[in-house]
Amino acid sequence: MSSHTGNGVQKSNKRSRKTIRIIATVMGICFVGFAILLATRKPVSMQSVASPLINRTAPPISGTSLDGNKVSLASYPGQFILVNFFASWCTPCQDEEKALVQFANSNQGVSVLGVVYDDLNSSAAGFLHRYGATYQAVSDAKGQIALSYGVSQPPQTYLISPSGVILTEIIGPVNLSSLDQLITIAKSRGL
Amino acid sequence: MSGKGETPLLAIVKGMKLRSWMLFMSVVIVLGGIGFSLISSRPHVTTEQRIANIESEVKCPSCDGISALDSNTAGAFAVRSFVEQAVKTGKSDSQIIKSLESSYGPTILMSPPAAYGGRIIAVLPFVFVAVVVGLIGFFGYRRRRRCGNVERGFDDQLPARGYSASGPVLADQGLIANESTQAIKASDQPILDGIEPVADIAFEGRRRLGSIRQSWALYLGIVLLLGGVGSGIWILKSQSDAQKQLAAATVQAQNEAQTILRARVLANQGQDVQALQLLSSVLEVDPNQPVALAYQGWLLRQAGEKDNSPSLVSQGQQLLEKAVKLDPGYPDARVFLGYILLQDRHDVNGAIKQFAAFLADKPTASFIGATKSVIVSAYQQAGLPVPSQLS
Repeated sequence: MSSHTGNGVQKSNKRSRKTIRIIATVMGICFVGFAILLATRKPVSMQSVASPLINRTAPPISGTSLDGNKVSLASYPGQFILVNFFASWCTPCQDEEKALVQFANSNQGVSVLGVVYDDLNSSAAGFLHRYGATYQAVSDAKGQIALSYGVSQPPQTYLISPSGVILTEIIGPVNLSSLDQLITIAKSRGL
Repeated sequence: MSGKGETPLLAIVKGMKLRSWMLFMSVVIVLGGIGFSLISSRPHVTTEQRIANIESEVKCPSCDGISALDSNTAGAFAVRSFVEQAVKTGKSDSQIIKSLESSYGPTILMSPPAAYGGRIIAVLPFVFVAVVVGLIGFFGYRRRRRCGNVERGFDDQLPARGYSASGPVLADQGLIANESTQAIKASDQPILDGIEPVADIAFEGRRRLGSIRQSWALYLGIVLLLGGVGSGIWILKSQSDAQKQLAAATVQAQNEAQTILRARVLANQGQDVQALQLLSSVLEVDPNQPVALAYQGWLLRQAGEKDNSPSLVSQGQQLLEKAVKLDPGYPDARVFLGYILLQDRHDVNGAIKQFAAFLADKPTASFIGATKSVIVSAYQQAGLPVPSQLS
């Protein structure tokens, strides 16, 4: 009876030690895995994130255009709107402007609305005039429209559906073919 | 168990052993300390500080890794304007941050929350701590229970065997030799009567010692874990507080610089009283601001000379000496003090010492040009060669 009890205690101790070893091994593996995960993970600053505005209602735009008229998104009911943030000093804006003017004049049922980003109204007006742009451009002196659209650097362009939802965001200069393609897709899907 | 009129809680408290009390008190102290540090580290912030805090948490949209507070780009200006407006309209900090996040996503934050599996990663250390605490508790409980079972096992066997079972069990555990066990089994009751108490005491002592060791190990483990968690929270909190203090200090420095600049403009326009008022407002907040001290001192000296008041000149000199002591490399203070020593105190050597220190810092040509005549005069009065920088 007594040796049974002793053997039982010894067996139990062995079992405990074995359990502890297993747990320690599992935890060690977890730690190593955790360290590998941390070491190989892409830093958050390097992870590209799509604009959180996509598929959401476009933030309102209202203000005075460069030619002194009141402009807002509501001025374009039932239309696709291409909102383009630009500045006269920005080289990529100069690169895309020709295509943007062609697109605006191509009469595809899409209105282009420029928003001046960190620029003098006179410089912006001169820039648009130089490229023969006839679309409206709104002044954003305090940068609040750009802020509401999450603009970091011009040019940045947003396509807004007739129902007022942001369909896509284009960072960098646009070109005519990609704009045409984009509108075709949007229209075909009834967006 | 509980006496008459004793509540069950009181009975539990009375029944607690010393180590349980120590454990309980340690937990209370650590938790109390954490709670107190969290409450006491919430300083009262002004609206300006609050705005600065928010601006320091948000990136300048067009910069890389610079906060809106520290940047002067159009994007940072837009963020600052937005934050100020939002604070004025009564929005909370989190509402303002969320609003910016809704446009830019979490990357607009200086410390964006970890994406993808990041939340799991953040939780893992806490899970680990919880698992360790759970395991310690589990093994501690199991060991204690096993010891209790062994002890109960002996007690159960006593009546049936006619004597204590401690002897054979002790033999199993190697405490006494097997031969002795056989001897005990074969011997009669009077011999057992002599052995039993010794064996019982030895076993009981060993059991208790083991139990105490386990309890202390458990207690120490819990205290260390709580201490570790508490320290971690305290470090994180102090880092966050340090960032906020840095932001507040940046705002203060910016405000100081602007105020001093305005004071200097006013002083140049001859509006000495208004300039002095502005400088005093800076010195009220930061009595050791060397630029404010230097200009306050200089304006007081000018006023003293104008009103023929030696005490004002002395006050001015004292402030300039303090400014030089606080920032020996600040050239304006050196020139002002040197001028006072030369013109008002006729202390040529003292003045030259200040001018030499001024020239040693390689001031700009325009600054030298503005002060040249006075410095040259000092060197000439002292009969010393004029430094080459002035020729």
